Amino acid sequence: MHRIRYTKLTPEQIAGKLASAATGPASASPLSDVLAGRSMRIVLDDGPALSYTFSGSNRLSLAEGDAAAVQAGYGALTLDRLILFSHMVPRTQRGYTVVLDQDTNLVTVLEVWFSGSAANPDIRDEREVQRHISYGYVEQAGRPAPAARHGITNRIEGKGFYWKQDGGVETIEYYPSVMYSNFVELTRFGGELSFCAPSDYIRISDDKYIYSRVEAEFSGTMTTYLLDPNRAEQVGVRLGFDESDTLEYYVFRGRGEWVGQIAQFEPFGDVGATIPLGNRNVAAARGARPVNRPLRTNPIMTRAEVDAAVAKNRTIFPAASAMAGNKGPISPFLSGKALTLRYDNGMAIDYRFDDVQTLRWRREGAGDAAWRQERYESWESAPGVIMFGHLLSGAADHDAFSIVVDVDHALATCLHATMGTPYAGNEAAVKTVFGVVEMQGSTPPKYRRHQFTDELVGRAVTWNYSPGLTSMHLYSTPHSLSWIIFLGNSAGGMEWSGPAAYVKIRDELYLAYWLEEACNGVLGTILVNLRTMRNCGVDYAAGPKGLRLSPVGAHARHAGRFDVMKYFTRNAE
Amino acid sequence: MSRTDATTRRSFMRTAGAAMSAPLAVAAPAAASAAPPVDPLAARLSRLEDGEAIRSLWQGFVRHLSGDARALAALFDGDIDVRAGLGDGPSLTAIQAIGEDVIEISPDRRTAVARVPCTVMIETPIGPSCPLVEMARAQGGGVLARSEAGTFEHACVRRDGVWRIRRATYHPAP
Repeated sequence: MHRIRYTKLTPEQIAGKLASAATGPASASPLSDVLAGRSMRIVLDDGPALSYTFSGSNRLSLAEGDAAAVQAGYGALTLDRLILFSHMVPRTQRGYTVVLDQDTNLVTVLEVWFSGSAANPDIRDEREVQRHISYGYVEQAGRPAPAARHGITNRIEGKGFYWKQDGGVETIEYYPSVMYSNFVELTRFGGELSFCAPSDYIRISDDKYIYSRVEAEFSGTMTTYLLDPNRAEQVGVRLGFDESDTLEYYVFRGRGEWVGQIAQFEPFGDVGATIPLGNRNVAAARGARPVNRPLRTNPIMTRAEVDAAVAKNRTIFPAASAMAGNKGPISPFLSGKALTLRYDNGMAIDYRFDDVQTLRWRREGAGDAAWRQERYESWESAPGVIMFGHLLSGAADHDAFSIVVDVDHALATCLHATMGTPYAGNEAAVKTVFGVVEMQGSTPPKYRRHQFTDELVGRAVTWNYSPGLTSMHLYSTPHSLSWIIFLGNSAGGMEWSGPAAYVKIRDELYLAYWLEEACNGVLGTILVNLRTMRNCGVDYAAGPKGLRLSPVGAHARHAGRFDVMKYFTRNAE
Repeated sequence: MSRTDATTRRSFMRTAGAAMSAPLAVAAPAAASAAPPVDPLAARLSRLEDGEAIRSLWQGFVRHLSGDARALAALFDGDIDVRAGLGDGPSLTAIQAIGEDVIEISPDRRTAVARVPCTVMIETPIGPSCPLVEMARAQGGGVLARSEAGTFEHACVRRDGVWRIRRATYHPAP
């Protein structure tokens, strides 16, 4: 999804494609006729009343406030006593998704629309569905208006589900935030990576919720559903344009499995009635909300631009780094040692560690003139396990190594980073290379190696890098990692996700990398020690300010685990 | 720090923030008027009125510091002048009065100083900036918050019978 070049549809193109939505959403399941023959007036706290008359299971008329009624197609599905119905307003790019609780007569209305840039300068992609959420009730003759309302919540934060829709679409969806979510498209995109989207979580009752996400920065598609966490059932609606710009507008029914609950970190008693955004100014436009749009602040550079920037400035292990406020002490272990790291891809590197921060390296067999001196840092995460990183100065692709050597077992794993991908000059790429350590007194194994592992998959771990700077890693699939930034009250906030890999070094000791893909291009490499609950590592990045190789060091807390590996395991057939 | 631009919340927040003020007892020392009333009762009443006017000023300062920039500006005699002595990075984001104020009014009733014991919330941007910090800032974070005790000293001036703040200076507790 990061790599799909979604068409920048124009409002005119969108209007044309929405013509077919006038008849209402498609559905793989029979539509509900629960509303057929009924009329209702929905009173909203912050908008005009919506007067509906439903003439059947797929036709309605709507009058917005005092405006004349319009006819539209609709689709409705029920979940217990809850009704979800959706329709567009003909000859507009607007529509409504309405959730009605027949027991309380309380209503949540999501007004949805395309072509949002005119009203909100933050929107630059007309295909990105916008929404405004209103709360209210169905007017009952002779009865007073109810005081209660549905509302935003953190009561669903931390849950995760596997879903299978009636149309066959399978997903894993994690809710590690109060304003974002993660989703893994098992059928649409093969489940390799997870993706993140700004999301809404609304409480109807303790066992019924509304979840809604918009795939901002991707297709712009909106998925909204009612959710019963006990029975793992959903009914919902999907609205947007897919990667071939085809309209997706359908209601769906789904069943799933609860895959776990990870920790919440808000103070006790905080149920998420507000989302604290500190001094962040959110645009006053209707539907505006904070959306992570990383490519706006990290514009794509060409390779030539990167080369020029790197020629001007390289920052190698600076003394101050917000990502390393809690790093461990630099290890003296390697100082004074000589060794060769021989990798299975044929690469072999001779090292001479002159002191704790200076090394020399050369390709094995090269002459004395081939030695290159680099600044490095190293940390001994566990006895005999050293992680160190360094640049390969002079390399064509600004190569860098993040290496873990297990001296006790004479094993080495190298994350070989290079700068530049087919998509961006300032986006890192990485290869994982396994090998052995050849040094005096050790016997390298012939067959044993560190191994890729799935043991981290589904786990969530918080990382406190510096006072006030904490994120949470969610190891969301065997090949991707999501990071969640905490809000001021320690609720989960914005997220992004990128490709990742996990290597087992020892029990509870893992080497991981993640690429901040379609984002800022950073390669993060960390050695995760789940016994000491800390990491060490190296960030590798390039941008207008040049190349940066910087230390990482953070304290960890377990945040829980989702049981998801079975969804990623392919059967032999 | 002298400020003339109080229109944007972001710039405003760099200087200070709001807090509830605690009700305080009058502790104004005796002050002589420029044209002393003959009537001792009237003199005392003037002193009390000055004290209350100045107290309202600093209470408004606390209230509006992170809220209504125009209302804050209206409290000042000229440009908003808040001096926190925190350097370029940290910013004052909230104030809470925690004790009795002390108001000293000059004998000519033209100037006064109000000293208000308080706790302040100070936010320091986390740095150097990096992608994680940028992401945190995009959702209102990326700062390290701490509170400390100190005193706000409000230098006030009376013009045309109206008291206003000329300068508000924060002094950390020693």
